Amino acid sequence: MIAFEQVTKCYTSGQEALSDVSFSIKTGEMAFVTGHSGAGKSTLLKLMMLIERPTKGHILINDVTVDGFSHRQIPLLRRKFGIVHQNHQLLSDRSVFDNVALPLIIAGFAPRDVGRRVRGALDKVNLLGKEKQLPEMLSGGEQQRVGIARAVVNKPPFLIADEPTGNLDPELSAQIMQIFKDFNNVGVTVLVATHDLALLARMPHRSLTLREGKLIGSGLPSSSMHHSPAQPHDEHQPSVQVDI
Amino acid sequence: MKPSVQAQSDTAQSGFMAWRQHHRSVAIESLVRLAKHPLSSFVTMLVLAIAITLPSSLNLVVRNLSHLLGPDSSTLQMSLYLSANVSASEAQKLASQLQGWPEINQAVYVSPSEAKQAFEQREGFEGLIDSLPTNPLPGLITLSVKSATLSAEQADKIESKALQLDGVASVKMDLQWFQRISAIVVLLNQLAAGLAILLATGVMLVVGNTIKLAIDSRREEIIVIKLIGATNAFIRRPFLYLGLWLGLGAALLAVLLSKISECALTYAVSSVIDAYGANITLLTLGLNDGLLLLACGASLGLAGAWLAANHHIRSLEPQ
Ligand SMILES: Nc1ncnc2c1ncn2[C@@H]1O[C@H](COP(=O)(O)OP(=O)(O)OP(=O)(O)O)[C@@H](O)[C@H]1O
Ligand SMILES: [Mg+2]
Repeated sequence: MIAFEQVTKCYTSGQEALSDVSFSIKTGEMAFVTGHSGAGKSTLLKLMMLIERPTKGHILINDVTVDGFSHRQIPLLRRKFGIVHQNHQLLSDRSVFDNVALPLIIAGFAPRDVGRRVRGALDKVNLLGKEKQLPEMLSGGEQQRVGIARAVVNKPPFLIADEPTGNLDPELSAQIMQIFKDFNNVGVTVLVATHDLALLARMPHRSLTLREGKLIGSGLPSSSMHHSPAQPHDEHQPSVQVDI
Repeated sequence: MKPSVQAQSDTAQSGFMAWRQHHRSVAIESLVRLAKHPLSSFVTMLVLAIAITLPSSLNLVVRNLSHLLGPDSSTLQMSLYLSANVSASEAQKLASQLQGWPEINQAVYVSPSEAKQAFEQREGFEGLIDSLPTNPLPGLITLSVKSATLSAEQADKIESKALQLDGVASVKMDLQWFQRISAIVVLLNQLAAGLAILLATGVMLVVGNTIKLAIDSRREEIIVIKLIGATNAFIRRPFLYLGLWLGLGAALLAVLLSKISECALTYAVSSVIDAYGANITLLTLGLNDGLLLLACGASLGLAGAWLAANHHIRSLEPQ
């Protein structure tokens, strides 16, 4: 469960990136964050990871208020999240295997478990044959999948992605989204920030829409989109508690 | 109940093994990183080694100095002049009493006639005392004092103690040489200590700066692993090993440097010693000293790395 309670974020520059945002995402749900560039999508995700702290309001992860966490508590919180970045943030001097293994090494897994889990994660993103290569030897889509493998390798309960398909063509984007859905199907709570509206339109998931830091909608894509009709999968969605 | 306990201890054990394994791989990785830039690593270690060698050599010089002027050389002599009415047997008794004092190496009674003999052996004084009606020289007891551990105040104490003895008229002490030497030894010791503190700080700063550069060159990596939940301790670890290896390597080099300069010095000194026919052995850097240097180097490297890593890692936060 991820919940924001009247969260406001002012950067030190004075820029109010989020104002009075409240919502909650249930465990096992998949949702999107959308909005124009500068609307505050990245800020919202950064607040969850405590990369930034809210100026006002509270953030709850699994019913625990985390915004006051100390520097010692933050690493353990972050291990609950798998994060996928637009520019994938892989270490260029380490092999695919070593990159994916990082979260496990950090969490202190035994070496024999590391190998097994890394191969499992690479298998899920169809990159099993490339574990010895360096990231720069891979295509953009492959790099993104390595990033996803790294995000899920320690089986975190939350998967957070910021513009994961930003650099990819529509076909690859759809592939990546399918991978996210697969993880969601096995119980992972997934939250994806994107402004790829076309992609959203095809997904029967709730999206939190931001405009200039304010949450202006949190329903199915149809409610905020102009083209696609209402999704027929409505009843499959978990009923969601939303307070705007 | 039992299986779950078993399982728990298994994971704890494998957790510990994973931790140990991680330490080992981080230690090796840090060493490999040092070896990748052999020249700059060597230069850094050499600078550190020189900083370590300076105070340790000075300390060795001081120890040699006090060793050469130590108990065998018995530089401190005292003469107790006895009153005229003290008989030879009383004087002997006094001498053996003084011999019993813990500070005294040797107490020898010199009778007036022996004193006269000694006096007359000097050039130009032959027959001088014979020309006098009576022998004017008093009996005396010469004391040699265990000077190795003696301070000027302690020497003064012996003097006043001796003066209180019955039959002792006056005490003459050849203190100046002794005092000058012990003052120099104290001064040099203080200098070595001051230098050690100064250069230890220098070593930590140099290590700290090297660590800072290493952290800067791995900025991106640090930010990425912070983002996926690495603790500061985890991030610090490779840099602590780097500091440890730098310090240890520097200390090894320092021992080597000390040994080389020691050989050169022993060679130079031995010709002087041979010329004087003296039987002197120089103190050299022993096994314990070497180990102490290694321990100092390692802990200084570690401390410098810890301070720098703590400071610089904390300031690197994902944006
Ligand atoms: N570190 C920062 N310091 C100051 N202002 C910031 C900082 N990060 C973001 N902002 C500002 O906060 C606002 C929201 O930024 P944010 O990155 O959350 O937008 P976004 O919705 O992710 O945009 P995009 O789609 O372009 O990534 C913007 O106006 C931005 O200029
Ligand atoms: Mg953004």
